[in-house]
Amino acid sequence: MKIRPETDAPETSGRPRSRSRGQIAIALTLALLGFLLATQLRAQQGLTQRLSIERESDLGQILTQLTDRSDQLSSEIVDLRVKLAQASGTQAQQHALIDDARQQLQALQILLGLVPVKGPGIDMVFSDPQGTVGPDVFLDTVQELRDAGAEAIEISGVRIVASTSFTGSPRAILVNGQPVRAPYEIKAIGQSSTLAEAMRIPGGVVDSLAAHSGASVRISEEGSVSIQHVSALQEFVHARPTARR
Amino acid sequence: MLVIVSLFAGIGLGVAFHSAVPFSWAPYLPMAVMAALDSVFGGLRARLEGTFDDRVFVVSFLSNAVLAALLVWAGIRLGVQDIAIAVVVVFGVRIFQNLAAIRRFLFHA
Repeated sequence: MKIRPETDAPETSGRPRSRSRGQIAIALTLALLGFLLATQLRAQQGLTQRLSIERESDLGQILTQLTDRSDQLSSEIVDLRVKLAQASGTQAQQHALIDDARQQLQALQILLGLVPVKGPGIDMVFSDPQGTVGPDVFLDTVQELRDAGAEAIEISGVRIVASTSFTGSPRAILVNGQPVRAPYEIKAIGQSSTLAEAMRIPGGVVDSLAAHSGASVRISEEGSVSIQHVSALQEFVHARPTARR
Repeated sequence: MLVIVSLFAGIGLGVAFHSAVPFSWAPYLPMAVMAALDSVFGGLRARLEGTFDDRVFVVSFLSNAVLAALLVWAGIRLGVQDIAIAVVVVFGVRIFQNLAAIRRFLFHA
């Protein structure tokens, strides 16, 4: 195009107006070409990046693949939700079971005298200066206390549990084979007024102690009785659990 | 000189405002560009052969570009999207012929 003036000059010198108009038209046309070229090149770059120049069938295939994948992932989400629900359900169940077991364990530990306990109850002292009180009195006392709802009992430092025995004779009382000396201190945890009442009922512990010469009892209701002594866990040699019916 | 400057001005405008072209023009613009290129090379050939005419150049440039785009548009409407290939082949051959003629004229070979 550079050579245009050289070749065109003689031909168009006679009509400069037409020549300049033609020049402007060509210039505008070429500007349009440049614009189209640049636009197309830029658009093509963007389209390539966006996969938009894919043919319709390819796009359809891609769409199908993506739809399949999406379906797959959706079902996976559902599966995982179900699993999550199951797992959390199981966890809740396990928590409930563990809580149950823990409460049971606590109850059994108190019942077996394996842990120190504290709570409202009564504190009694049996005085027996003449040594007339025998083991039967203690057995009766424990019986009465349990009947009145005592949850934990201790006699002169010996924790009273299911397997505790009272043997010996007056002045040589054996609680679970352990000798105890007068004055005997008996602690019981339970509703203190009920326990004290149970001791004082006619023909009860207080009355039967009064029948022994020289013996006396002092009962005090306490807001907080502490039983520190624990019993050793009994080993079961013969008894075996059987399936519950 | 003016034509070179305006060509680069057009390129500059296209770079600056490329987003001004709607997305839906995507199938037509390349055909229009092919037609425009064909017209430009044809014009250059005519110039070298001494048969150049302003009016013919401008009209053929615009009509070729518009017709190429229209042809593709019609092809898409008729369900023959591959008509774009026909347009590309036709203009490609013509561009080659024009370039060959220019080469022959310039190098006499």
